[in-house]
Amino acid sequence: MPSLRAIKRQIASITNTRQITRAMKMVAAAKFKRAQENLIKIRPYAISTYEILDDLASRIDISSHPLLSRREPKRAELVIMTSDRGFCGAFNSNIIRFAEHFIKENSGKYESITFSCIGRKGRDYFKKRNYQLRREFVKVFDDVSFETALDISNDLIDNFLSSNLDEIILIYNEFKSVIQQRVTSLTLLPIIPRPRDSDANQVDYIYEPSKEEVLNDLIPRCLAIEVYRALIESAASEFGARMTAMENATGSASDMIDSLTLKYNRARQAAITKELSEIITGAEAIKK
Amino acid sequence: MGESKNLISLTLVTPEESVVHSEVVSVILPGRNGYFEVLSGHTPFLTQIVPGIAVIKYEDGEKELCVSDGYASIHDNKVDVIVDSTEWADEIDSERAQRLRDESLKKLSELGQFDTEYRKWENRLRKAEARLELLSRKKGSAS
Repeated sequence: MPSLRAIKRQIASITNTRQITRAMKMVAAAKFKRAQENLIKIRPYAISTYEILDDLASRIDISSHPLLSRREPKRAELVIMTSDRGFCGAFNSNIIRFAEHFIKENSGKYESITFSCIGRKGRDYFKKRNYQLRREFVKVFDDVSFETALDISNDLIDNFLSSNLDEIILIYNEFKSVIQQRVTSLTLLPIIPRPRDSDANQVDYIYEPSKEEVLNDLIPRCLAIEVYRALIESAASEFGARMTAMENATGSASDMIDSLTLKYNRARQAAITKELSEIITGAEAIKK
Repeated sequence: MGESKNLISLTLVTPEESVVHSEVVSVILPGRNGYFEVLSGHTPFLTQIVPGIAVIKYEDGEKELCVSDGYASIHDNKVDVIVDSTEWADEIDSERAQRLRDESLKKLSELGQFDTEYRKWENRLRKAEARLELLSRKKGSAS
């Protein structure tokens, strides 16, 4: 049986930990709320934008714009979104596992796979294992800005246009609910239109002012918005995951404190009983 | 909406919010080459939207609002409009709009046609004028 003092020390230490996890949960909750608001705002916009792009891709001749071209996919790039900080449950390991699985499955299909890592955790992981890290972005999730998304998407577009990359796949956590995130992969480039049920309506658009002008501006804009939405999805997922992880940790700490307190009280009672019986025995001895 | 044969479904969104999402009779939008009206059966059409006033006609009346830059895609009786921002008449600050118009006019008179800034200020002027125009229309209909 551990000594009373040892149990007491243990209780104090766990109480400290609980305080920290509780504070982290609060912080995550505040950030989560903001991220979720952003997400609710951007989703309809992103969906409409994507629909326009999708519809465009299904109507137009793919030779009309370099960004619509499809080549034999030789060089692929994975854009992996993880968090900068830990303490968020299986958030990062899910993404990393998914990415590694993807690499294993498709390594025969591509000549090379390079990486853009967004978020410190994924960067550290892939760097340590000598993967070909092409670009890295850290500290973007606390305050996701459209500029960051533009920066990322412009870099990808440039590389696609210069034939450095043939296929670009985003891997990120899609936000479902606070307790649920889904690892999603999305092919950003080339743009593959959804299959249509009827091709009767596949008439090309009339463009205003001109086809070139519209496509030159619209396609990069759509891609940037897609990246932006993925960033926001990932941020909301991260804070949601951290919130749940910290809540669970706080709960476990409370359970531990309860059981240790019980142990402590038992030990204390045992000590008192022992002392009492010693006193009584002593008194009996004196009587005689 | 049983016999919605002559209706079109309009979606108007900004990065901030989903502004309109409903079945309408028609919508007038400020395209790059001028205002155009979309009715049911419109040909597939993809255009840039410039700042101006959008008029949405419902079965029981119409609504007007200012829109800024963006795109409109029209196909299969569906109109998707994505713009950077929108303003209803009661959201417009008329003094601010006036100030913006004066400032843009001044800038435009100083800048040459081929200045890189020219397009930007032209755009701002358009926004300011759209706002003022919408306000004056509202005033006209109220009195």
